[in-house]
Amino acid sequence: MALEIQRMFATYGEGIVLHGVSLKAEKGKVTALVGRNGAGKTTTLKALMGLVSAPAGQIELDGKHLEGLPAYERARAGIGYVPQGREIFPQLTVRENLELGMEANPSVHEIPESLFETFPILREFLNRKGGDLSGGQQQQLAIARALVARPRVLVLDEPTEGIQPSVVSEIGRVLGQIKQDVAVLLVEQYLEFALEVADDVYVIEKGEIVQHGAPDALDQEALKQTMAL
Amino acid sequence: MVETLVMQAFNGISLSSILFLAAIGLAVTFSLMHVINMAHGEFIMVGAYTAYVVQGAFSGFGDAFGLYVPVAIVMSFVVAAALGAVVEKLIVSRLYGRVADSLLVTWGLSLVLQQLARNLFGSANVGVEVPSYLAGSFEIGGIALPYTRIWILVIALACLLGVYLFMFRTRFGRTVRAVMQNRPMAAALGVNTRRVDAITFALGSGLAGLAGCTLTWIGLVGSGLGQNYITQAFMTVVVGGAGSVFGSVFGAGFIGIGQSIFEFLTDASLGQALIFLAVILLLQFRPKGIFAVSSRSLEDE
Repeated sequence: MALEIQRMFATYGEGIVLHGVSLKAEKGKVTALVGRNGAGKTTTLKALMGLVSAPAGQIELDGKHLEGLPAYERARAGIGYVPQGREIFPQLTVRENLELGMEANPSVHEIPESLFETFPILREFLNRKGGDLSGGQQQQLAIARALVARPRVLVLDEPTEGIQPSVVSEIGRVLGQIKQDVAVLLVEQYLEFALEVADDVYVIEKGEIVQHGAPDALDQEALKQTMAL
Repeated sequence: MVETLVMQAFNGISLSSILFLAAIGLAVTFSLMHVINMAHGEFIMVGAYTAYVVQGAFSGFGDAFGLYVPVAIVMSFVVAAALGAVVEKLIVSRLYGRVADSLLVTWGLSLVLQQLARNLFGSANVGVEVPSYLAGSFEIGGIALPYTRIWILVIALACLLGVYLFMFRTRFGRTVRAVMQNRPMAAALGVNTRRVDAITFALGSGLAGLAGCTLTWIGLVGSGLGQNYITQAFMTVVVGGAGSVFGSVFGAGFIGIGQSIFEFLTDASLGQALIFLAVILLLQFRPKGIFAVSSRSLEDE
């Protein structure tokens, strides 16, 4: 299983935000995209999901081209999306939030039991409204919701943002576990976390990839400068 | 005095039940698509004329004439829903998120549909014959409650139950609530939001058609029938809050019963003015209505 983005451009209104971003995420690896605020990390994921305009570039998931497709078809093609800020449905119950995840895969008719083994807290709060959960619990729900449909690739946008340290390490553990089954693309500003969990890292700056390699093969000096810019 | 008051309250509840049917489609479609549909009243009119046509078709059936009622209920829903589906596909789907444009275009559509009705059925109002089992009234403590109004109340309660079960107990209802709360995220989870919009718009139109059907048992049918109720239907949505089933129930009760009480205490014209005033005052404290549904798509704009 592999997701490949090639020379993707994205625009917000009149402005071009991404300038030919290319990256690859494969099963068995956590691929991280790091960069400072406003570098184009979230836009890359939104363009991948079809939520912002991407007038040029290619998106290929296991040989299937996704560019030009509406967001729901990209989800059905196998992209599980965990957005920045979680974006769970606050007025729906935890169960309903998880059941919505099934929309992307008609062959899934019930919430997989394995998800409750990974996130036991969700079983406990199944009938509670999503909006009543803590930030860490909502993050676990958002990840579980994306995994319900058994995606080919899981993309996460800053899953550690505003989360207490114990939950952050739990998320790291889960990513290390699920990468055996799905490709993981992680967008992260928390550099230490990204370098710890990732097998492959892309560094983005002003909408362009400026470095790529294994965490210990990156030019640390250049990376520090990029993150501090 | 007491009898008159009870009678007036019953009429208010009856008006509320019609307003609920007329407004629930508006409430959901506004919250879902951010479109103001001024032609919604014409779906009421289409439902009423459908009932008129069905009743006419049964006029030669002798003793079986009364069977037209269930057929008219079903057909008024189906015809209005089908028209709603066509209108959504051809017009409304191009106006999502454009409130002012949608208001003007659907107002134009409303005028076209009214003229079409005049061309088909003439400009004079027509009447629908009430079957014998709905004629008369239920007497209790010296108060006569017309069977037609009781029947309308039963239909509205059945629809309320149906809408509740649909929205909160079905997979499709779950996706409707999700799209109302956060459209981009619902799409990113695999929900075909355009399909949700189209089906919901058609169902809301069908319920308005059903409201039109019920109106034929308490008054005449004309091309302007929907216009008599559209303002109150919008007020119902504004008071209750867009996107909320319970808000529509509350709004319909507030407008229907409030208007009846004000009319009882003053007169018909002043009563209507007073209910407008009450709505304006209420909106000072709850600008988004009593049961406002938090919607990202609405907040973003």
